Amino acid sequence: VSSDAELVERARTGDRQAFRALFLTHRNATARLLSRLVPAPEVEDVVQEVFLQVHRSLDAFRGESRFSTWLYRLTMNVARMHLRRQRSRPKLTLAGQDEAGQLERPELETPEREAERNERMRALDRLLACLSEKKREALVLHDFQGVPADEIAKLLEVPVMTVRTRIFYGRRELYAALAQEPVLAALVQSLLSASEAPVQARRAAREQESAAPGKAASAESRALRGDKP
Amino acid sequence: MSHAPKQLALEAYASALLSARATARVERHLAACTVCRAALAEVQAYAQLCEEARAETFAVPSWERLEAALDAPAKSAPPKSARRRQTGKLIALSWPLLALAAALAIAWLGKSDPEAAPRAKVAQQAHSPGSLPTPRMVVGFIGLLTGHATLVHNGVETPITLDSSVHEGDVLRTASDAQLHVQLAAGTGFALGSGTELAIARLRAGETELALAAGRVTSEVAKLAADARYHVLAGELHARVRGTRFWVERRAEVAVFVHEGQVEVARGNELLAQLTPGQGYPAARFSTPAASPAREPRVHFAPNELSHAVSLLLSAPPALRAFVVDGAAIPATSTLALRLPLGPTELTFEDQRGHIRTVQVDLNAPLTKLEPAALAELIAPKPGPVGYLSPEQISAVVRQAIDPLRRCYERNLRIEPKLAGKFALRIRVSAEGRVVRAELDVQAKLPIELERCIELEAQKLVFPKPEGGGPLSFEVPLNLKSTH
Repeated sequence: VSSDAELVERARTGDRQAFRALFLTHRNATARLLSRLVPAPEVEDVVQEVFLQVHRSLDAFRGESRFSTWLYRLTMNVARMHLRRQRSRPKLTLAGQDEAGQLERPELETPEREAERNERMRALDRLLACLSEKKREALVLHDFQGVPADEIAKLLEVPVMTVRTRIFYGRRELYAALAQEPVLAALVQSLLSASEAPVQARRAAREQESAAPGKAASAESRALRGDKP
Repeated sequence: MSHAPKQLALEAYASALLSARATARVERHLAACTVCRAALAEVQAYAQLCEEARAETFAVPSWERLEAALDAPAKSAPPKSARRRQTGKLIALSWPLLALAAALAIAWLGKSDPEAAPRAKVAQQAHSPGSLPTPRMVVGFIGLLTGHATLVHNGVETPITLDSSVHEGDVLRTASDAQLHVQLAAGTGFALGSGTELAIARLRAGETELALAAGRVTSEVAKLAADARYHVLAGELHARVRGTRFWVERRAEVAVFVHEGQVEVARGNELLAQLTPGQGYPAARFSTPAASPAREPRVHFAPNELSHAVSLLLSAPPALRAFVVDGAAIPATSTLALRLPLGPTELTFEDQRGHIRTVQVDLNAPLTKLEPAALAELIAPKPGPVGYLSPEQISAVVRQAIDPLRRCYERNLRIEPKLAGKFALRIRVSAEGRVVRAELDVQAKLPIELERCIELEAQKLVFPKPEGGGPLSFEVPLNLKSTH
């Protein structure tokens, strides 16, 4: 299997098969990154735009960073340009439907859980869209693509501390905004209820102990405290 | 830990990155602090969302699609370095060749005799472009005809029928009640409006030159090869195109209007205008939406289908107002002759009350003639099964057309920047799920070009087969909103 560097070198000389291999290797990761940056129905087109740009700009890749890092940077630029173009584009929508919501995210007939998960993803996208471009990019690269902060720093050409700050504040804004989306608020509530259960159990056990001092604690409360039965 | 939750500590705890001692400390605090438990739930929820997002799959373009885009003209340039290397190679090879050529030239000049020059000229002529094989002749077929039209072939003028063919050097004339369409190749053809005279100056593979003496010719040109050309001459002006749809009119003045693609309008070598969709020449004539041109019928065939085509003659019964061909209404004042593919086909009519009726006919004879009585019986309303599609099914299909519809809108915004509003798109779907009619409500008052574009895009939609086995009609509400 050829490395990215070899494939890039061959693709530069016009080797179509090498470029095909690069495309097939990286198209899914590119789509995943774009999916959090541009509206879902446009992801496929923007992926295509990215790789056309890659083909035109292979000369600009100097090999100083990994190909994937360079590709991410190029993807971010294409996504930014795409969003700026979209913002100035006129709207044609189905009346009564929110373009940012329903129209751009056709509901699919899926099993209940998958439908719920899809709904959560759409809600997450709406929240991400509310973040500033800088925070969104740092967060998407780090939390959704798994790119380390130092690599993001190189990619965005900012100090690594700036990246960490953007991630920190980006997450903080998202945490606070989760309550705005009912489906995400429900998720938080279910996790909170799950964490409350052991606390309630401990509290009940304590109350029982204080009501009957000297008696042996129940097996359940002993287990919750980590005591040996 | 205070009641202002420490985000980093909670994130580290949720990711199990803390030491056992720190974990125990956080857990002790969590047990007593509802604020931090709520904050932890948010952190955990976000972590779950990240995980779900990483597992999501997306539609990605295929290699075939990307390769087609790479090979498309103007975008297909190989990487610059490859070009540079190729050029470098050529230069590297050409230096010795140039040196050799220079040496031979010097030697030849030294020995040149006066007779050698004419011989060289003759040899050059033998390889000049003028001596290349002449492109083969193309024959046009009549696809649609209504009213009286004639064809002048070899100096003899005869009435046009569906059996007529059109050759280079012919002249076509339509009377004031006539319209006709000539098919040249797959996706390429032209329609003559009423009162038109058109000479076919050149009709060869890759070379079409139409000379308009009077009236209007509307052309539809499939994407041409790099060296191909399609020109319409009208007096001093000529319109040059690549892949496009446009019309040229010659009455008191010459006018050009572009539906799709790009057209250059020139006088001799002087370029007068480069027109894009929705633009016309002279610009003053097309400055208001009211001046937008009416729609014209188009009849599409692949050439191989033409050999299997049959002729259909429709004589209009009194109850009929118009024949509807490809979304354009042709007044039912005389017989309409159509060349259609063999087999079942749907015919659409507009009755005197403005109702659109569609009937199925099976064309299996070389010539099918529907007399007024037979046609009247066919189009008489008959109770039949009514189809059903759920709003979700309709919406899912219409959403796919949003981008093309938006492009229609964008093109028209160039002419009318304040164009906006809500309107209804009426769609009729056949029992098979095909769109048999798509039209905007008359209240929309949109430029005719926008209406036409939206209707054409809507006609491309394919719906699931309606339940109940019958056709159905419905309205799709649309919003136009400009950001300007």
